[in-house]
Amino acid sequence: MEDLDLLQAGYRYALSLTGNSAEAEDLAQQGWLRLHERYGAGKGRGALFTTVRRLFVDRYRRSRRVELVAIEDLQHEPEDVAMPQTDWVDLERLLAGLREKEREALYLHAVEGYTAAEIGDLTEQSRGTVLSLIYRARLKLASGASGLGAVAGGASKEPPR
Amino acid sequence: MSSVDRQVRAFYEDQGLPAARAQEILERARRAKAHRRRRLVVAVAAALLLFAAAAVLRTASQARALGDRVAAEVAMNHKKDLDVEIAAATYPELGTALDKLNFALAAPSTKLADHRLLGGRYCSIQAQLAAQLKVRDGAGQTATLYVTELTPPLEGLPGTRRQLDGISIEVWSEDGLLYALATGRPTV
Repeated sequence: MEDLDLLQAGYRYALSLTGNSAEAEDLAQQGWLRLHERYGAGKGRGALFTTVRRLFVDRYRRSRRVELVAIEDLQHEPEDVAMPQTDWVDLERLLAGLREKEREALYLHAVEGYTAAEIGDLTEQSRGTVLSLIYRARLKLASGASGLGAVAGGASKEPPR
Repeated sequence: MSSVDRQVRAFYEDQGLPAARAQEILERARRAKAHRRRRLVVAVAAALLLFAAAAVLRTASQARALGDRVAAEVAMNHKKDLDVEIAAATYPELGTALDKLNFALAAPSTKLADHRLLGGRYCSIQAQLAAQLKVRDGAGQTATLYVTELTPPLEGLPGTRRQLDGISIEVWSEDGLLYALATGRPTV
């Protein structure tokens, strides 16, 4: 994978963690420099994600309130959920409304194609917890999008291209 | 209706760092890497220099210690002022008589031109077989000359001149032989 593609993947993962493009940009830069400082070139996506995640935990989570939410583990892969077509602005707002862990788990699964077990390894959570996070994220997004649709009179908005 | 995952994937795949910003980050990493490489080269060079300096100091220290031991041994033998066992007027003559020596006894070419050989005997320097010669200068002053083969570790011994218990000791090497001349005090 080209360096540029890998850096962009790091940025998107950072965006899924922070939910904020400015913070994600900063985090991706720090992660990229840290990765090259420690290992030099040639490290892959897994190492970059781990580095970005550690930086995120160090820099952001400590300064925020810890959210204590009981999560019931799921044992089976949850089905994808149907959702009205939503434009980028609304989808970004809905994603920002997810809990960090939900957004991260959904990103890694839906965008990067990680399995629940692989996400569990990266984020140090059980597979069942990861499945539950993905399921909750899907439900919240679908529910939020349906609400938007109801407010907008059910009009479906195409994402910008 | 579309699935959540499909929309989420499409959303994130549309996100990215601005091209200029991405190139800036890549360039910073490249510069940092080059800087680290330069620092590494400097550190390795410094370590090698330090190692070489330590090795030189260690070798010099070992040679100095060996010089001290040889000088002390020569001075001690000189103080005993033992009589010669074989009287001889020339070095070849004495060398023939001291037939256990594993080197050809030869007069030093750079020193003792005004000394006359009286004779000699076997002795040892640092557990190595040597010849202990008695010589006399034009003023009638006797001195003891030690000769042995220049083999390790003696070959690392630098030429030196020092005073020990009132005895003047000079050590030098010539043509594969180590010479040590002791003059002064003893001969009671």
